[in-house]
Amino acid sequence: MNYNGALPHVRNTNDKIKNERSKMKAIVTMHYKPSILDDEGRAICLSLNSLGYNEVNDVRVSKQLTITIDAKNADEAFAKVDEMCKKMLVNEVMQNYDIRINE
Amino acid sequence: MLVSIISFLGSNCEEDTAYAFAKMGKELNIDISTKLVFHSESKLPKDTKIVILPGGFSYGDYLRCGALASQCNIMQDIKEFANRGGIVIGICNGFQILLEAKLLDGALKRNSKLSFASKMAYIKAFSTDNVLLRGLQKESVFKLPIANHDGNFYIDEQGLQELKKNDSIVFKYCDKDANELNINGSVDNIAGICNKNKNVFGLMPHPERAVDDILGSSDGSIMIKNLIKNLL
Repeated sequence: MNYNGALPHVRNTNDKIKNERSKMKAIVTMHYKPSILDDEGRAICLSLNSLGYNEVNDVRVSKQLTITIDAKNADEAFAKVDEMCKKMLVNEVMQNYDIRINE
Repeated sequence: MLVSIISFLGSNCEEDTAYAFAKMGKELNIDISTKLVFHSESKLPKDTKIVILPGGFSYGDYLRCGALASQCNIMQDIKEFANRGGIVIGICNGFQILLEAKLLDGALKRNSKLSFASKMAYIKAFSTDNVLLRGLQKESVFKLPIANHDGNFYIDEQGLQELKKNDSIVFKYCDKDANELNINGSVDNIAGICNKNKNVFGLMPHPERAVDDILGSSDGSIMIKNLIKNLL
């Protein structure tokens, strides 16, 4: 699993009071695994080529969700969102995903 | 025989399915009752013999086809029903829901040409060693309507080998003479599969919409009648 950009180890230094929850944004980006043909990306690539952008070799389409979540810290937010991804947001048969937490 | 048909928000084939089963029961002179079960129910009706997840566009196909429906209340009891060996069949969107619920292996991607496919297609019985097709000839061809945007079956190589090993590939796309055909990018031309225990089925074409010649084909009735007979 590729967790590019995910920062489970980064703690919020403003986290002074225990149990105090703050709003965070979790950015989940999901895309087809590299082994899977991305037909939509391919169609866009071919269109770009036909516009004259012959330097374009490949296009991959991804979907991004911005989730606003209450959490004590980035670790907690990450763990919760990761659980959501595994449970429903991502289909791991064909997709990879990254999670980024913005405090 | 009670057929429970699950109605998700955005399902649109539940009435067709109920009509088809009732009609087949009448023609076979077998008492078939059908019941629509709303997605928010927590239990299937007692005495349910077959569960059908019908076609449609549950939750507007948001997130991924079938992803949101697979988390509905009733799905927990459907999983338990399936684990007890109960017959569960997902048609079109129902197939997508069963995959998202992990009751079947694989996934359905957007059709390779990116277009919505709404036409008659031919599929053939690839494996008949199951309750749906037992008694029918292997390689029997069915002409059935397809109506989907995401019918491109995907499974990785290891998963495909598992399906083959378990004889779980039930239907393949073909031409009218049973020669395999790839109409939407599906791995190995797969149109329908079942699980290892052969009690959970998923297929993209709509047998319930092909039960009368006036609909362009009555091949679906052969399949549904065969299922009913095998369950008696």
